Amino acid sequence: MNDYNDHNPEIPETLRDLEASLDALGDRTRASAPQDLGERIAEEGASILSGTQQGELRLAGTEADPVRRWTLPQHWSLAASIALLLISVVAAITLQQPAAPPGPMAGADTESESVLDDEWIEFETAYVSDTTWNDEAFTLLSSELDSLESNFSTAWTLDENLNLNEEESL
Amino acid sequence: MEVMPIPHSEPPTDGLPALLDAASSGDEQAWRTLVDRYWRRVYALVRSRCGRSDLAEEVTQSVFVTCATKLRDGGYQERGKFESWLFLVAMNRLRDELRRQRRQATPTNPDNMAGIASEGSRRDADNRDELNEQFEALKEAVAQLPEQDREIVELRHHAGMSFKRIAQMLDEPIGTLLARHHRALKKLRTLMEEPGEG
Repeated sequence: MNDYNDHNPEIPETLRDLEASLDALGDRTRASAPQDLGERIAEEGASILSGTQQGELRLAGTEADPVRRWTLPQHWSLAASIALLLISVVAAITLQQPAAPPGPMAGADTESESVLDDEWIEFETAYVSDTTWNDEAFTLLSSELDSLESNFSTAWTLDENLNLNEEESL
Repeated sequence: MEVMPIPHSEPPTDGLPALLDAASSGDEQAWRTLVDRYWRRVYALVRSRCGRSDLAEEVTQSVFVTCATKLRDGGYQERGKFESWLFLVAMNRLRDELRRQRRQATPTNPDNMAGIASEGSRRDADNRDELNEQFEALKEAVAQLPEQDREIVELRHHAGMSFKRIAQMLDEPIGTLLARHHRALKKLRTLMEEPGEG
């Protein structure tokens, strides 16, 4: 028995042609379905029923779709977040490091320069020309470098103060 | 009163419980028979409601994945309402998807499904020439029906459901549905005679 034949007795003759047109429209819509869709549905369902597929396919982007939710744009989003984090870390480290002294001690007084020169010559004479590099030499080298850094900082501070005074005077 | 024959869209339901039982046991042939019986009807219903072939395809596929999963896991208990259940899943799935798309896209009147389908129908009309003007006019008119009227027309003529099954699905008295169907056709006639009105 075909259930669809339970005609609507309330439909008058004058509307039967319209009803038939609607049926024809329905037929056309069904016929317009992609030919391979039925086969794809059958195969997918068969694999679910046989247990080879978990049946988790849902409409793309819906919450019940754990596989498709992890999509390419989200990969990009994650990558962008990581890159931003790295840039922030590098920028923070860079800003915390002492700034390099400007050029060849521009504006520094000749007294500071001569102190540095004298210390370097002293160090060079004592250790660099010595071919016997050892732990003691490296310890002293480290000490000398600390001293140099201190002198640089002094010179840099003086220079900054000078520049500041110039700006204020403007 | 002479009754015009209506195309036999709905396949016989004989043997359906056995088919469902076999499919749920992993019988591939039984599953394929089930799919053959229903996939075009589900597609047509969804296509008519949303007016988009791509979405109809996706929703149809999703409905049958749900069906297979339920059969495998014992989540569906056959009580003679498989068809009503299947089309209800399709309607709900489409409704959810349209809601989701509305949240992500240009907002439209959320209470007016007809508006969305009408837009889809216009897009279809632009892209396809497979339907002639008469069918296009009919589609436009269906899209302009109030939601309840449109629903019964599409369930009846696109999904090819009997009034008995529609009554099961919508949980409404069959007499109410017959009257609504009649009313919907009268409105359609008016819309077809006065295009642009409504």
